[in-house]
Amino acid sequence: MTPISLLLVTAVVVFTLGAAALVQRRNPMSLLMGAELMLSASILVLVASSRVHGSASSQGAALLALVLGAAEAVIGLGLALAVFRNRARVDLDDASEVRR
Amino acid sequence: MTGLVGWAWLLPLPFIVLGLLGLPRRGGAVSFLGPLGVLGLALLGLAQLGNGQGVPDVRIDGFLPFLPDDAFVTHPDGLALSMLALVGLVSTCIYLYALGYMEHDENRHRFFAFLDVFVASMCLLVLAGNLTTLLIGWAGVGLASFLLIGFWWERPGTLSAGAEALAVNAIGDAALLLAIVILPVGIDSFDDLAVAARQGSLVHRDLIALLLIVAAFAKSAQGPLYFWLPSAMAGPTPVSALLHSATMVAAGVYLGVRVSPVLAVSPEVSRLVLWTGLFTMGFGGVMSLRQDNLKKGLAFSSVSQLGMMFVALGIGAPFAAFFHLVTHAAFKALLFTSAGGVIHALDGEERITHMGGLRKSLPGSHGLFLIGALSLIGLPVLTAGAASKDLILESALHHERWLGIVLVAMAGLTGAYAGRLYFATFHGSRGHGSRGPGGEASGSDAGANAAGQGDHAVHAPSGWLVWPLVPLAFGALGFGFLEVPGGLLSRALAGVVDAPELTPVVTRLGLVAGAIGLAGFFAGRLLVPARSIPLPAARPAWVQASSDAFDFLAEQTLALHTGRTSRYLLVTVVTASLAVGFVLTRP
Amino acid sequence: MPPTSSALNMTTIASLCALIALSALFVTLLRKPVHAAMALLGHSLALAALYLSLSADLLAAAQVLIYSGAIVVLFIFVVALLPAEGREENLSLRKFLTAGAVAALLGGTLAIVVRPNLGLGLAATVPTTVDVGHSLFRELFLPFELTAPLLLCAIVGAVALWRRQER
Repeated sequence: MTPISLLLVTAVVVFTLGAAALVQRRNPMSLLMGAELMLSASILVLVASSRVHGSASSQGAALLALVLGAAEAVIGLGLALAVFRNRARVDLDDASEVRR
Repeated sequence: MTGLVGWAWLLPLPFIVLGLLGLPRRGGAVSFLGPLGVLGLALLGLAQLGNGQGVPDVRIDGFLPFLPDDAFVTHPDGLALSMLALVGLVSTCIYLYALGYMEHDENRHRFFAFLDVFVASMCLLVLAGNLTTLLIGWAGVGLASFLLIGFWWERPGTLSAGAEALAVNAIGDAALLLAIVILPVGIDSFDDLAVAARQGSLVHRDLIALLLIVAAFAKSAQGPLYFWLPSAMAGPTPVSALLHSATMVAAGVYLGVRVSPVLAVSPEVSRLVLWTGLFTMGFGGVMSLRQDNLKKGLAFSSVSQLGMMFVALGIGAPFAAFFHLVTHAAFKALLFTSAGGVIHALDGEERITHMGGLRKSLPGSHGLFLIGALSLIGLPVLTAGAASKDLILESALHHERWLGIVLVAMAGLTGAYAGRLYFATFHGSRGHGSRGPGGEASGSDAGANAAGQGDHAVHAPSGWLVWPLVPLAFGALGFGFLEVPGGLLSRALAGVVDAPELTPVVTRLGLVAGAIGLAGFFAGRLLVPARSIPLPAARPAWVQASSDAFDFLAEQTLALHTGRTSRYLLVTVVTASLAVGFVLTRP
Repeated sequence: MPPTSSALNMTTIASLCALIALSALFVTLLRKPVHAAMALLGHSLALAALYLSLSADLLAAAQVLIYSGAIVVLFIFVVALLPAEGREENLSLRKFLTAGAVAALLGGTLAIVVRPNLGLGLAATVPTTVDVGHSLFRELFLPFELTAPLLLCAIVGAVALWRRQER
């Protein structure tokens, strides 16, 4: 098994686990963590590609994706706080008043 | 003496200091001397140009530590001086008018100080010899606009209107700044820019043109950036007249005229300008027909007229655009100020549904408004608006036949909204529209509640609200003679903007457009809104049908909208996987 | 010290990969958000170590600073702020099975994507931090600059979310 294939398989596993967390969890925090897992898997693929092609711009892109993750976390956590600060139970599906 | 012309923008500044000190006791009583001096200097400079001598540039080196030498240049050429004279004239009239309009406002010192900031920035913008200097004035007028829109900050909505204006202006400032950054080294003035464009040696030509035009669009409320201008009517009426119709919003057109050599060599951007202008022109006219607020109706008229100037820029007729800018400044400032007289007489009532029949009680404002409206629709021979509109129509017809025809047809739209506002305000009987379309209902109950619910008594207008407008009225009637016959304006602009060959006083096209405009004007009477808009008893069948259709669709798709995030996420992930899998496994 | 040659230590990488996948599994499975956040911290640190062993030094540093230092700590703060530690209450078998099915579907799709690339080898050159800097300021200049408005929007958004609640 080559190192690259190992990295790719790890990325697939982490991505899938993140998506599973996204589907299965009801707590907004866990959902966000799942999203972060998916993002870190894609960054891992970018790093692997930088070793395959010897290209620096994949690493640059990975850095930018990292910044994206930071922005996403800030907004996601802000939303979670804004919605759930005044609730006893933290369950995203409780917040379905938007529909009515 | 003429060396002072390049310094004209400094003239309003002493009055700011005076105002901050609370002098004179009757706030702003002497501030009009600033713009009057500007007007004097501009006329002096124009006379000098007429004698065949130039007016010296003013260069300040080391004005700001981070600016390179020669970054700050004022260059009073014919275009700048004509515009400066216009700004000086309109500002002087409106300063005097504001003395009456703001009579009872305790913050008058602040008001006039803000106005002084505006006039100084505007003069700097006009006199600027390069884009860097222009940007300083450009940002200054944006700031003044924000301050003045928000002048009555306690009233709900004024601050957000000011913020809107500031935000859109910031888009324009950013675009202009980017254009300056991209501009190649060695292009230090508008003249260099024109030379480089004509020689075809301008790098990034299209990008620069695009950025400059985006800046102009933002300042002149064109295309998608139109929305701040109607909101800006939250400011006092003198501000609406001076900044948001006559001068500041025209700065975009002025910039377009300034950089017209670049536009001329960039056909794609020119086409964008043409289509945006045409769209905005029609859109503004239609929106004006739908306003029940007198000032907002006039504001959309400004949007529409500015659109027409951009059409002229887009077809490569910058002289026509500038000429229309000059006449528009006169008649639109006149319209706004006379409308302000009405609003002042009604203690701040701005809804045309609460006006009507005011021609007897406010004869001065009535006459002035009528002159402005007739100039707006372009009554041939008699009014200035006709002369400049004629030039644009001629250029359009010469450019593309269909464009000329569309513009002539638009004259009817202009006439309709002008007529609607005029008849709703001054004709009919007080407190209700004279006749709604189809004469529905309002006639009977109007007499009953004309006296009731919030109708203000008309109080006698002060002379300050009428007499300062007389020069504007002369302008609205007579500015056409600046160009036809005689070509005074084109001689002043010679060397900066090339004028077309002289057009005769009356063209057949102008007569047709004027006739259509007048027809629209009287047709506008039919569009006067009823006081209370009655709900239609039964909806037309097609409205009902489409409403039913949407109800049906909503019911069918309701099951999808559970409001539960986990369901949405599930659908998203599954769909994404299936889509990617489908694309990849396809042979 | 990261290896400077292009040869990679297979044992290190394999163990780090196992650690990464395992901590990701914990993030998904642990019921208490605090525990999940700690697992995320471990995941992020293991990733940083992996980047280091792949001689992506700058990225490893950024991972530690931004991910472990800022994002995960932010997560832990918010978990502490939310009521009742945000413990999950009802997790049905059905939900679990759904998640499994979705994971299988997605994993299968990704396997199809990845399979042709499994045989890829390593390039002879290893990009250095200097190279990354060059690429950031040359071909990636526009996206790099766009991160500034992105972060600005995020800040303004966070402030706006908080302010709305206070009124």
